Amino acid sequence: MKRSSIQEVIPALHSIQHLSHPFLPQTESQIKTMLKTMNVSSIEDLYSIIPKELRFEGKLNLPKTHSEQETLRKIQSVLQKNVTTDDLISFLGAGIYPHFIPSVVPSIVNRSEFITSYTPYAPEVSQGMLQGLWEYQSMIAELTQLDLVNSSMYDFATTLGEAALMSTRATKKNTFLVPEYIQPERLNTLITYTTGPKLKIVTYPCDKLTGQADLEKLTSIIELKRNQISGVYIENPNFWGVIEEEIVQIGELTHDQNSLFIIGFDPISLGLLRSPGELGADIAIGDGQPLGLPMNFGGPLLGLFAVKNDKKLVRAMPGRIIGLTTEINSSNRAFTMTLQTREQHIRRERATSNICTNNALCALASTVYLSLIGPHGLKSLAETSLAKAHHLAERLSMFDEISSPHFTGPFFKEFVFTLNSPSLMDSFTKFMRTRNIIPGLSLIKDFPSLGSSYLASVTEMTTSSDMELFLDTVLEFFRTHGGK
Amino acid sequence: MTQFLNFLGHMEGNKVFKQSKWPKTLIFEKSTPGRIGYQVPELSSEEEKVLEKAKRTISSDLLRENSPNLPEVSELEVVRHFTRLSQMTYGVDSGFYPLGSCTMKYNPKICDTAASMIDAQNIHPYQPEDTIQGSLQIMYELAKWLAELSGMAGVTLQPAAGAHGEYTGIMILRKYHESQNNLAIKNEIIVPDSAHGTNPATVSMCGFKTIVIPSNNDGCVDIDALRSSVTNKTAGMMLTNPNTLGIFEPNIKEITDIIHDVDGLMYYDGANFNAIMGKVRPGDMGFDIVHFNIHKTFATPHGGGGPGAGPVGVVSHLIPFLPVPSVAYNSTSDFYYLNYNHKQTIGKVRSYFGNFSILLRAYTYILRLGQTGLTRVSEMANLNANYMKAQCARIDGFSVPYGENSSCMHEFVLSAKKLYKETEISALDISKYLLDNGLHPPTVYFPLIVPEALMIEPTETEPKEIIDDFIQVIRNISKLAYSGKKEDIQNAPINTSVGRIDDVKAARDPIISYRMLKKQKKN
Repeated sequence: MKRSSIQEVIPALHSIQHLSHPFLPQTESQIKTMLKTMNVSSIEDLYSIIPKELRFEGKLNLPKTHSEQETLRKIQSVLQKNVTTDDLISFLGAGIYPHFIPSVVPSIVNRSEFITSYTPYAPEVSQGMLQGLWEYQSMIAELTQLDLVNSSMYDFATTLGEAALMSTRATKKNTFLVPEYIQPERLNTLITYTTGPKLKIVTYPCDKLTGQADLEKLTSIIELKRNQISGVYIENPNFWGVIEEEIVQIGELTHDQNSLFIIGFDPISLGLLRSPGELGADIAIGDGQPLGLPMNFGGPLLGLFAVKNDKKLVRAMPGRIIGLTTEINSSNRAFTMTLQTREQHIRRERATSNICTNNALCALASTVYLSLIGPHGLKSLAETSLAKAHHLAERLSMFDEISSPHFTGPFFKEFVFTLNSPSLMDSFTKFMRTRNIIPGLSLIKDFPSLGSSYLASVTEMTTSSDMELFLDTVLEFFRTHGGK
Repeated sequence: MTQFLNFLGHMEGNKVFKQSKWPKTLIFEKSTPGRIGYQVPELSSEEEKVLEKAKRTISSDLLRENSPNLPEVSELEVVRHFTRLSQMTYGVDSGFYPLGSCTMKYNPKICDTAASMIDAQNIHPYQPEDTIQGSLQIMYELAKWLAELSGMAGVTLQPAAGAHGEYTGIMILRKYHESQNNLAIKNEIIVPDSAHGTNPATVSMCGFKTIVIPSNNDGCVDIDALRSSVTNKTAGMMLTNPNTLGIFEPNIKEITDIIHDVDGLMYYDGANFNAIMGKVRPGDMGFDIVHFNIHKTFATPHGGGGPGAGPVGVVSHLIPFLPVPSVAYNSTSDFYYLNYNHKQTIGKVRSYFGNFSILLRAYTYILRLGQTGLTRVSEMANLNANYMKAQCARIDGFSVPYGENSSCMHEFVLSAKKLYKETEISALDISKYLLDNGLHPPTVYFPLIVPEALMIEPTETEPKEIIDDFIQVIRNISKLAYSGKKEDIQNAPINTSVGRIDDVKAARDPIISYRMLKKQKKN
């Protein structure tokens, strides 16, 4: 065979190899047939409507096509640069928590019918997903003791933004009160969300000793802003882990103003603590991540949004809602998306929110999780976290160099502890890091008034040996860094 | 024998498709007190002692009296319950899903494999930067790739979904006008009448007024109407290109010039980005802000409603307004870090840095297709759509009111107006009959400017045989309707787990939780 003919053959073979891909089924001959049916001579002709001067003629600066093996190898090699919480002793929480995920949860959630379905616009073929989401709404309603739950939002921070906007819609007032100790991610998101509709955010102080909302000062702020307050927000337990003991009174104060009372909650805590519904909440918000979702470097999460059963409030709710109804021709149960006249695809610029895609699959995961865990499991989990957190706080308090817990108010699974010598904070963090320990979230940047403090979080994942190793390392640190 | 041949020839036909019809027993109704589905590890005796003491620190009126009414079911019961629910759910893995504007393409399994790696999942967002180098590298590179694909200078990966991307983009637009001291005047945003509902809803959330402009006879932006709507109050315009009719706006440069002439910004809604990869870039068309629907174009699964991801790209002079933090790279020290130093940032639009596991899937997808593959994706998406359009437009009772004689992009809108007028078979009836044939219906009654609209987007991953099956069912509908044999269509669906649903009852007496159901039963 002549050299030139080989060259002719190879590019042709190469081009077939080059154009076919496991995700692209049409063969060359099918493409030809299709073009012929349409009376079009080439695929390129399909783009003739695009003005020539706008066409991208260059070569995209993107990676080459990787085979499946190459792709996985590349991703593994990049991700290996991470250090997972499995290889750390981490007391990080502050909104995202490592909880154990039973094997059933990913096994169900990864079922391909669920994962590859769209928003259930065709309810007759989507009954399974719809029922799962309805059961999700039901379980969150049971946890919060509030009847109305939407079928998920993005995360805690955006539910706070949406709750603030809803409070304005429902009350026609525009000042929203939040505690000064709110998690910074949430506060900053709230500020963004309230910029457009021009809501005023006013923070109310907390008691420096108890770590709880200062009822007296809040009362005077409410007095000052009389008739302007759309809603009052509080977290329980709050960002510093403290349980709000005057929360019921704050709710009453809020309702006296015809304002909405909004409670942020940790779903695991509701195995032990009184529910937002019982505490007087009109809206309860939170993150469902602890209910069976991996931390995933912060996303996707699960925005929980529950509302008191009230005709006026239901019409002001954001987000998709699944309803239980029947078939038209029978009394057989059927599920469908409902109350859609609130939503963007119908109401457009007058919609209660622009949310469309939500976090349905995360909601399904939490439904499976809550089904497994049950009422007693949730209680045990809450108690386990409480016991372990208190155990750690108490052990840390035995060091003269540490104030633990920082606040006197009762706490759940998180607490603040403080190094009595502020100058040691950097070296403490670094020393712990060399031992693969993260003692919690440093609060020095966001809450400098708390001094050299950490927010430590403890869950059922924290083993006794992890805790002992941490305490031994603390002891070693103070021995080597001018403690006793 | 004929029956047997029929069986072979219509694998997707209604003689074969039957969805599971399990009883709709709620998991609450399967509850038996005393059963557990998961065992929480026991506390040590020392911890038990601490527990009693710890509980005493909380006053009893703050403790829950009754445990929440969650179901008490065994592990198998949970597995079986949800397995049955999955069997009553239709996904792309079940069959053809030509839901217009939703880009329901195949979601490659390799992307799920990548996302389920422990090195991706068990990472807390507040870990020190030296322990998250892998995650940061993925995000840094993905942002760069998206910028390249769209012709933008900078990309944020934070937004959680497409509409959230729109929100982020319009907040950037807002902050830009504020920085120019123009916000007091510039309070209007122009949106075509064919736009997705999320556009005007976003405009309102960001504190602007929506100015709707009509489409012209070709389904494109009416330039005269645009000119007469644009004033110094115009802050910008949101546009999907190709638009929701699947038509590329040929006058896009003129449109962007008109908006830029009044110091407005052009916003590109990336819902239809699957049509143009490697062919034309929003940046080159004159757009200033772009969002991507990761769960559409980049094949991440939609999970029955989400989660998605909606990264936003901007031109260079808008980079200072991006949400914080961005992911940055120091090449000298080969170190990735979170950069909070955007002087005019809009702030935060959510907690943490983005839907990482979704973004990782998109990263995997882009690697798998690569530079040539992504262009081919768009080409094949458009080929499939044009092929379907050409065939469907010839079926009696159907028409393509916009762009019948020119090429569409990745989707097209079929109208059943004539069929409805002549046989009373509506777009809704058609969608239900498609279900009986094991096919997911197109988006119906959208965009609003097309009567009896069926918005069809086949995507690039469907083989010609499946597309032909769909076309054949549309032909059958036409034949049945015109020959007066309408019952099968009007009674559809019968092969699905439920028949037509009483939506009116659902909205009139909403029952949206088990608590409400129990109360209703009591009354």
